[in-house]
Amino acid sequence: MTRLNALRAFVLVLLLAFAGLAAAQANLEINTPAIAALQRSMQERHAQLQPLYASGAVGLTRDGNVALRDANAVPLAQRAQVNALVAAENQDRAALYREIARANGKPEWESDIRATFAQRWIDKAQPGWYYQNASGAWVRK
Amino acid sequence: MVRRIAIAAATFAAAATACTAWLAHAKEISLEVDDIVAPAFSARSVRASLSGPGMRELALRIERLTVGGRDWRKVSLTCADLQTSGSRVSCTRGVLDVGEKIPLSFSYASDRGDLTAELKPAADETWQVSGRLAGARTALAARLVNAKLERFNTLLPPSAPKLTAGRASGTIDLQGSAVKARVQLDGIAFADASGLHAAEKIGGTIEVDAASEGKGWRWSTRLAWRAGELFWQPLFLAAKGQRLALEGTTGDGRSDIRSGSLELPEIGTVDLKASWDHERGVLGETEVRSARLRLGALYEQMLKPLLAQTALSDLRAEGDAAVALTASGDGLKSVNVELRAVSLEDREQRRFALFGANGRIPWRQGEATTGELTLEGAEFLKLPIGAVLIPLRLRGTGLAIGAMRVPILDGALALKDFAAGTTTEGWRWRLSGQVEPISMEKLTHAMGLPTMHGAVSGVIPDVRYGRQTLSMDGALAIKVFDGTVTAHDVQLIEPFGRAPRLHAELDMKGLDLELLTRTFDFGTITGRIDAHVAGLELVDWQPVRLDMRIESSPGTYPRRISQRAVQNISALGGAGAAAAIQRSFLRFFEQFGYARIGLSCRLRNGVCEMDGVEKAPQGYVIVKGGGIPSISVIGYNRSVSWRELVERLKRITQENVKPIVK
Repeated sequence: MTRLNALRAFVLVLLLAFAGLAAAQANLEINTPAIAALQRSMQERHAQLQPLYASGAVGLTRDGNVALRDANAVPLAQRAQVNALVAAENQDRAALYREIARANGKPEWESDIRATFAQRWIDKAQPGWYYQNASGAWVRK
Repeated sequence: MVRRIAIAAATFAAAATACTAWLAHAKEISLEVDDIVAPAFSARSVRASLSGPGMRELALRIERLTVGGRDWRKVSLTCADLQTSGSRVSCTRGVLDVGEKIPLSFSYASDRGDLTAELKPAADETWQVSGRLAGARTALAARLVNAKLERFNTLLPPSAPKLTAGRASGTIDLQGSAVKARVQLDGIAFADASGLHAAEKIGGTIEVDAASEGKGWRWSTRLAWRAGELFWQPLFLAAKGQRLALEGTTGDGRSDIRSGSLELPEIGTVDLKASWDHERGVLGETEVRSARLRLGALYEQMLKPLLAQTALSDLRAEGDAAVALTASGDGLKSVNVELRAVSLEDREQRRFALFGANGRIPWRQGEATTGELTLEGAEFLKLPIGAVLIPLRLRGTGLAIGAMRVPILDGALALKDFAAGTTTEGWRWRLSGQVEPISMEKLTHAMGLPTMHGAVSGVIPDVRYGRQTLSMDGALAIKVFDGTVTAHDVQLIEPFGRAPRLHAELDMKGLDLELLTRTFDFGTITGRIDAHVAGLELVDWQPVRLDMRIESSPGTYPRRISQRAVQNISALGGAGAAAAIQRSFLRFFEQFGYARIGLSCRLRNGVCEMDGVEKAPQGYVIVKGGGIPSISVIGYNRSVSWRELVERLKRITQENVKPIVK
């Protein structure tokens, strides 16, 4: 029984090591036409999202997405548009993670790449923006 | 609201009755009651005392008061000048303390039941009730002046949006078992914590008439919405003078709306009938219908905010729809939609438009139905489309169209066996059909491309869409430049995503080079070519991978190439040949003969590995000379960046018309 557990632990360690290796080896700066198109689209949207990050209406989630945090900071008439912006941004982000994984020739790395990006977005966030900590609670940077 | 006022009145009455009772029977006046429990409220640990000179100071304290499921702790009513004479008790300087101290006055005559009470929380705010408490002949009139609505927050469930502003003024009359309310609301604002259910500056009127009938109530209500904005995820609505009138009955565990009408200014009127089972919390037989909804206003007022960031975010909508639907506890039972002269247009980007849509779309739960739509015309990516008749077959969430012909320019797209449905993985559909010849001149002109000759025609094999992938079994053939282009193994992944991905194999046979070079102003080449593109992969319509080979078609035909074409080909591949022309007698000739033309490109990671018809010293032959005078073009660059290649092609073709190469 203990031997079996030891074996399990060993396999787990091995898997984790490989997962770490995989993330380490992925080229996150890789560029393809698809990635360029997604980055362009996200860049255009960023001008609309920036004031929403600043006001705390939208925050960065721990899984590499953005989410509506507190719509009260947005004028009523624009709240539906904020929903749409968040949905469109998340669609692009999902496609970006998928494309980077594909461009690396490793579609199975998608979730690792997403996790790496989630931390990157939070590191790059400006002071005053909100992000989700590891337990999912909103924190002001 | 009506109920709350009645309860408040009843509480005063109870307090007053108790006071008179003590006066009649005791000298030492103080009273303690553990609990008072009534259906609508309960009071715990009630203490009342009379003291001071002439026993004129009343103090009534309730440890815990529960009204409608909400609690108040340490509620007190004090009166500094309680007056009693005979059966009448009154107070002009009372204070009600419910966390906030509210000045209060009241008077009550126990013999006739006459009651007046007034709460004055602020100089401009009054809550008044007057009338008679007399069993079935009870008549009370409540009057509100600028009543602050935030006071009701404590009555609302914790999950409900919190009122942050708002005033109510008006009257509520209770006559025996009939209630009549006329209330005007101003400046209402509310919001929940997430901001997904919120309103600002809401103004309007509420009128309610209700009378008990048998075991229940018969009621009618009219709401008018005059001012303000409302966001109720995902819907945003602004006041436009909308009105809702409902008439119905409540009793025996159910409410029935016998008749209702919702007036939406500029859009139309919606009539409804419905019933609600209170115990089971389910909808009974429900009917909603509108004879005429104006789609332009419906889109602007209600749908546009919902469709932001989609292809439908910037429409000009016109026309009417008649809608009728029935539903019950187990969902929708039937839907009938009739469209009349409906037009939709993508305003700024002009990606699509449809004009003059008419027809009817019937749907029944668990039944197959047939409907029909006609379009007077449409436009898709600047391509004009003629009149279309669409016969619809509906069943559940499935839609099928047997056959329809979509006229495009001088040809048509004839589609058959279209079938669509939803699955757990999203939409799925399939179709097949054929392209009846469409002139390339007209097509390229309509799309703003350099004029090409020939015609597009061919068979559309089985096309399927599902799991966000469009795939085609069989081959799609297009006749163009007097030759044929065949596409097979076509697969389009996420066609509606940000970066669609296309996989295909292309075969081109016998394209007329003269037509082709004339179109793109490349200089003139006479002859024919074949091309084969294997493993074509486009992402966001940009090639990322391909193995392309272009070469002269087999057979006998005139083969000539102009000096300009030679220069252009040289510019594409390398400098050698053009220099040769400059230096030699060859520049005196306009045209040269050739034996073969060939060029291949293996595109990987943005770099094109090039090759020609055969090897040459330090290079490869792109044009192999033949006849008199003859010329050969040699390429020396084997690796060319795809971007650079496209730039060069653009430069060459730009001088004439718009470049077509993306």
